[in-house]
Amino acid sequence: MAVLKPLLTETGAEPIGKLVIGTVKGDLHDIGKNLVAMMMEGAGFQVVDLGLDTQPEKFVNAVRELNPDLLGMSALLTTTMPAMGDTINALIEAGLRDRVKVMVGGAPVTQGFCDEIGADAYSPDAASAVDTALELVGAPKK
Amino acid sequence: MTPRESQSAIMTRSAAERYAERHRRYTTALRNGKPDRVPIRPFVAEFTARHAGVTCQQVTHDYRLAFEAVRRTAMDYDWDAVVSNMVYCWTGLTEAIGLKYYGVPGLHVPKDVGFQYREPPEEEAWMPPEDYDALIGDPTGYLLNVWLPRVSRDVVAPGAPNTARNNLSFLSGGMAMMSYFNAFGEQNRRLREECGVVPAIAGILKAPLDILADKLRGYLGLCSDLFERRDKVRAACEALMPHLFHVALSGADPNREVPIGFWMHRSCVPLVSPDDFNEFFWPTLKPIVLELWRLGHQVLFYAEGNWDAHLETFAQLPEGSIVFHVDRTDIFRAHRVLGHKFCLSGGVPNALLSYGRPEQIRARIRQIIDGVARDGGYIMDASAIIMNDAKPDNMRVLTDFTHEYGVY
Ligand code: B1M
Repeated sequence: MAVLKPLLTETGAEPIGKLVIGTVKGDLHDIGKNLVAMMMEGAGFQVVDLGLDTQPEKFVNAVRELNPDLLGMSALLTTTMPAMGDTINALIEAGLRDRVKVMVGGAPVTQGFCDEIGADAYSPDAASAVDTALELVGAPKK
Repeated sequence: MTPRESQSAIMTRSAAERYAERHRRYTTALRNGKPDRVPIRPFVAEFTARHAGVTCQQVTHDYRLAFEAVRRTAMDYDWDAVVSNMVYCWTGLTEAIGLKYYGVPGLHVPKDVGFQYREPPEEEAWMPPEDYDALIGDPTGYLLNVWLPRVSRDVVAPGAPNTARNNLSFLSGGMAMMSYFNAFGEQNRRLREECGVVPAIAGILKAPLDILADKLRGYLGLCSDLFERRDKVRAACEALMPHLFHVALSGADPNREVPIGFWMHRSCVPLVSPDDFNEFFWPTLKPIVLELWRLGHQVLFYAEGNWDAHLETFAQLPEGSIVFHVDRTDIFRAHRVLGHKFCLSGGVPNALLSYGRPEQIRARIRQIIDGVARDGGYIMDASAIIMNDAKPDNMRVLTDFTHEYGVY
């Protein structure tokens, strides 16, 4: 990853949007999330990575303080998928849901689950996550 | 009376009959044959605790309770085969040697969360890159003398000042190991004789490249090594082969009826490139599989993730030598490429069992049975291990609908 990162991210252009991303509460899988974060940086997004095992409150605080265009959540365990819904509910409670578009992903996550919890978009892999993010911020696809 | 005969004499007749019927069904499918109906063999982990009404902490702390939960779940659901205990981490053993790498329910994670392996950050990997030569020179010695003291709070490395805790860790760790591992024999006997259920696998295999990422260098460490020290990676994989072969063989079924479980964690795309698979993973795994098969042991490829890119490679193995378990691999492609030679299992997404509706589960099962199981050679299971989030009602639908729709 350390070897690839400079190659993927050194474009020197103005960021086309800001993404806050993290693996959800209780989940320690971050390989896929890191891939998504790097591809997003490569595509021109400014990325703030909250790491793994991210509590809903930490996502909420990051949205409040950093005012990102996009919030990305990753889950790899069926047991931790509900934490995505919990985070969205915490955003609603904090009155911040309308300020940010929510993207979800991770191996067990599906479009149906995304719709059920009220996220804005689901992507099955890192490449399509970039396309979706560009669409969500209204930037042309690369 | 031979010991075997006296054992069967005390089996209740109906359990004995059920065992014979399920054993025939399961082993026929394993050999890619067509039994009376599709066998069911769910890899249930913490779901058994949920079914038995106990916490993850309880089954992790008390293996007798874990064993009992497995027996009860298998019987209540009427499954053909189960793994003797998928909640394999026992606190008695991990605490006896002060093992650092498991998060144990009730101690390090909440009591109703399953136990979990915790991978250290790259710079704190259990094996630093400068240790490659020591590992290559004597893998078993390295694991015992260098790796074990690192992953344990109590074991001291040879040459370091001895401590009472070190002595105790070997004493209590050895005793814990003996009682736990010996208890598996009794658990398997009770599964067979009291429940009439087949213990699904025996023994464990890991691929050299996987074990390097899993428990030694970590995934990121291995990625760096695949750039910076490829020769060392190759030599380490080769050096680990005899050790891993020996571990697999020593736990294998002496009757050669059920397969050795092979956990394929981290060597599919995108974790490992196809070139690295061809250069490291496969050449150091294939000889192990072939040798086990020569000795009569089938291997269950528990293929986590998506292995679409490698099905043609697996298809070169001798007919019947493996069973291929489907997680995210395209099950229909797997059937086209492997189905003429090997039994398949799995393919029902776990998220469906946790969050899906009964009609969605039925639709997936119908799709699988119509698409890959028409001529036999398929065993019903979820894609990945089944934790305590799976809904009991959905597990019932999986079972009942397979019973109904899976009749040949
Ligand atoms: C924001 O928008 C987006 C958009 C797209 C997004 C996105 C976000 N996030 C991801 N994507 C998408 O883009 C990425 C790139 O294309 C993709 O990301 P993925 O993350 O899907 O793909 C990655 C690039 C590669 N895939 C992975 O990295 C996951 C690989 C497997 C092997 C895996 C790994 C590596 C690990 N594990 Co874990 N692990 C398994 C996995 C089995 C497998 N082979 O799939 C799985 C996920 N693990 C499982 C389990 C059970 C566990 N694991 C555990 C631990 C671990 C390790 C620490 C050893 C390690 C993680 C290391 C790390 N730093 O990430 C434990 C739990 C720890 C915890 N609390 O999280 C433990 C509980 C095991 C234990 N008892 O210790 C299983 C889950 C079963 C279930 N019912 O859900 C599992 C499927 C294995 C299995 N077959 O049983 C897309 O999904």
